[in-house]
Amino acid sequence: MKGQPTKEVTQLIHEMKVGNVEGSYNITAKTLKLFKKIINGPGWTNAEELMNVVRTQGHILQSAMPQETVTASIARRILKLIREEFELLKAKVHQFSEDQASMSLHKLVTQTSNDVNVDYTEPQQGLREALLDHLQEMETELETSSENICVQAEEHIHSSEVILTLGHSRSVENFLKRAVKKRQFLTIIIAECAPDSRGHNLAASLATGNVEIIVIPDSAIFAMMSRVNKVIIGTHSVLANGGLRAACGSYTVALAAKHYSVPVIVLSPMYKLSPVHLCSYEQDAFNLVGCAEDVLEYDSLASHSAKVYSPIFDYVPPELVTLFISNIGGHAPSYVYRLLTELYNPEDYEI
Amino acid sequence: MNQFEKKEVIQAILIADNNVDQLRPFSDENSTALLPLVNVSMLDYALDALNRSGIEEVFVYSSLHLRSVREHIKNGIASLNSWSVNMTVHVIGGEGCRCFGDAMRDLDAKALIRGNFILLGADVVTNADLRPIFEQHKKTAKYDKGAAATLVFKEAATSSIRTGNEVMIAVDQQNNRLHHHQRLRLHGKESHFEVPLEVFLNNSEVALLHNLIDPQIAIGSPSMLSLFSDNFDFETRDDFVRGILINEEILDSRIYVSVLPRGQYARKVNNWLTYCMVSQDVMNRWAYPLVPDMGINCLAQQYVYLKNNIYKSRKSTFIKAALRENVAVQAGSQVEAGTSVSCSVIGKNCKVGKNCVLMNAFLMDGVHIGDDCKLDCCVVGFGSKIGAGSTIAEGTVVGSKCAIPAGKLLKNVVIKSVLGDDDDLVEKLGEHAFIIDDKQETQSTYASDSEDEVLPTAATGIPKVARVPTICEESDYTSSSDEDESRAVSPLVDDTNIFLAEVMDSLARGFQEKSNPDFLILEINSSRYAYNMSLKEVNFYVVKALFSLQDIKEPANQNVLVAINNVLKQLGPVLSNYIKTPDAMLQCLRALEDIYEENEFVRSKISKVVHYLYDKDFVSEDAIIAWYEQLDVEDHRALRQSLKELIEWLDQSSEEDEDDDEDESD
Repeated sequence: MKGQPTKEVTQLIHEMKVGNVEGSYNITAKTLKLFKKIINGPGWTNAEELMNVVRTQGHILQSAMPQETVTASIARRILKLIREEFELLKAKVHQFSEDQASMSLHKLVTQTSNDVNVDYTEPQQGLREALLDHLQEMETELETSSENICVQAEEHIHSSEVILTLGHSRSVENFLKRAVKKRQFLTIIIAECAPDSRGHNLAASLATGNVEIIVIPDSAIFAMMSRVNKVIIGTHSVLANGGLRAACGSYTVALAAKHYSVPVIVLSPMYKLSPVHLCSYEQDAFNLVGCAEDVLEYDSLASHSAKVYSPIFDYVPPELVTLFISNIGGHAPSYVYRLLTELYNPEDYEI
Repeated sequence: MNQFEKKEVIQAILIADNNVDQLRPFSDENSTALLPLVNVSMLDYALDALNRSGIEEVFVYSSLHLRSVREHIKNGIASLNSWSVNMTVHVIGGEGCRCFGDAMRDLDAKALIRGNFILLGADVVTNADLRPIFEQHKKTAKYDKGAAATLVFKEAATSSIRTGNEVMIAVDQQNNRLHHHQRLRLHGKESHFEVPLEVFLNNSEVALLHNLIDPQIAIGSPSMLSLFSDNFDFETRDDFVRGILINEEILDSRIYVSVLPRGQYARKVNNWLTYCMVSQDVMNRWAYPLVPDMGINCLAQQYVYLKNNIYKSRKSTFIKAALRENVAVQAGSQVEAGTSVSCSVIGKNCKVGKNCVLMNAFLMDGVHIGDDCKLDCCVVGFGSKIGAGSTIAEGTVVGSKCAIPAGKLLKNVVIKSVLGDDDDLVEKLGEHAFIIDDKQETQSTYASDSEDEVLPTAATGIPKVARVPTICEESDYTSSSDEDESRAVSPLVDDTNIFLAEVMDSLARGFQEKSNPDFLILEINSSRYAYNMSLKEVNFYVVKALFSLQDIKEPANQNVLVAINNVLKQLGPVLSNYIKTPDAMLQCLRALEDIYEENEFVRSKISKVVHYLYDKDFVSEDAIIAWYEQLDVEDHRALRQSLKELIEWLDQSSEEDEDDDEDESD
């Protein structure tokens, strides 16, 4: 699986590292564009080759930025697309072949397991065009995903409710903006989410509407929870079991919500679903540890002897999540596995 | 083309091969910029930092090891190092360029720099975003045509150990103009600073900042280079700063200052102590995102990050070895059973044997360490082999490809594999191991060059690798008893002990700095009220503290009387302020009783000490006799014995006195 990264991949990794490209949406859009270029390019002649290229580049992206799961997820989705398109085209060619026509229902159901040995090296006419069409669809889906989530705001937020959120998620921002427009007398409580305190930005952005906004420190989350009707948070990604990898502080919110039986609604567009399981809380598998100086000043006396641990993410187990709202509707955490099989081919889980 | 010209390309100059003498023996073998720090060469740190700041063109200036630097840059571009994206790197060099100033003059002659530029050493580790500072400099330069440079500083804990990079500056608060610049002494703390009076007279708002570290980052105007050309005596950057400050009017140039905000780290590696400190800082994630697990110069991640700041490569093997804290282990290394590693860096393809102890040890690539070795505060160079059972400690630096025989004990030495022409051999350890003299004189001349006052040569020396984090800080905690934190740390200590400690601190400082006794009395009195001491206790503890001063505890030439005389000459007024009444005198002598038990010098001379106090009118004879009589016959037999003569003599003299008195009254 070793290979050289293409120029665009290097560029993307660099921009992610430097921080020019941030936010799942932007990273996804960039990655998609990158793969589109690869598919458009001359680097492949048949499906097998293309899949290898996508896998290699996906792997490079993954190993460079393991915490950004969306890059690998996009690669997985494209792999699945290639498989599907290839089979579709193949089926078209052999449309009238005998075994295809006389296939029983039982055969149809069990067929997938036999298909492992499909020979993808066969050249297929029109594969490139078909794939590009599908990528176009994916791009449109990506662009409209935020809007599609927002549309559901009215179903979940009612007048004179108290909503609590944490940090600054773009989906949540748009969702709440929509709700503020449609509903009256809303109170929005925003936990500031130290040490970045991005909650302040969200508060500033929402403050224009006719809405009461309260910014609280993270330590006050539990105290405020008793008054809250709904918790609405964003997430960095959704794991295979329906658990969340979300901004540090989300676990506190979810636990407090559980204690007061407040529903926790998570906004997550489909591209944030990733087929990875949590296997350890350590950084290698899950977390990312940030800068020490966010927590403790370098010129403090303790700075040389202290070991500062500033994790970026929290794991929120699926039982604390009430509902996922994605661009295709609401889902329970237990349903995530089903969505995953729709999005990705199980063979591509390991990239 | 038009569009291209409009866009300004920010240029940066990296000076490699700076401060060569302090990183021996590696500086003899290769460019110090290529020395690995937590397994990434320092040049890569600097380049990565510039790349993150959005700099597009970098000139690496190297003179001594031009070829290897060029090779390194070429390899870096070939292997897609992260700095090679979006940034062009040129390596330039000049023969016969001996110092920083020469490099600047050479750059001026080559005329490569078109506008304002960023200037830093190749040995700087920073995560700072230099763009805003650059913009600020441009703005300043617009208003002040004579703005030659903006110096960048980083705040650091004031108590941290001196590394030679600390500065004290006076800066105008309103426009950030630098008015005074003084490098702090490497050893010992200054008791006073001299700042020219004009600084305060001519400016309404001046801030003195003394807790700054100078990472040697500067934003320069084009005039900075020409200033170097015009003044051929500028050798270092400090010369430049001082020259400008002294001749501000003549040169029509000014220097500005920018202090890095919180969350931005910058430090320079110019000796082994800073090497050790910066390594620990990198592993402690102060330089985030320049931390090992983020892939500093390569695309893929090399390490797995575990609890307690342990970074280990997936391709390294550990067989029942303990990794305690702050450890980075590169690919292909192997650590055997029973070995414990803490605060250390292990390079590529190293082998560490069984039952070793590694603390603050920095192993570069391919080091082999035998069984049962102890490595503490040391650096071991590429491909060196250390025989079984050796102990290497206290700032030892082992060069590349050395082979140290088994069972050696090495402390505070520099070892090279091949003897160079200008090395002074101290001892030959083996075929490929020579202890050489580490040329401390060069350091002292350097220090006195950069500083007006000549420093005592005996005290100077290149700072060695030392245990940076915990130990120094701990001692700081206990000694700084006037700080709230220490009180919180040790709540068990009762008030009297704290009071005693404070009085001792006050007196020791007062004695050293020869401060006014009245102030000391004030200080002691305020301590007294803070801890609610009765007057009796105060008298007792002041005397006790006085006699517990370092000078009396360990008198020079073992002569305790001279020491007491010296102390009392200075602090006598303090003592006489408290010891006035007969009661107080009794307390004073009781305190002496305690001292008698503790201090053997006083014990042998107790009668003379008491006599001295009597002579100087601190205690009266009545008090002495009363005290003597109160002494328990059994418990204080020795004391009574030694005082006996004195008492007899006093008795006699008092009788005479009485006679005299009677005579007078007659």
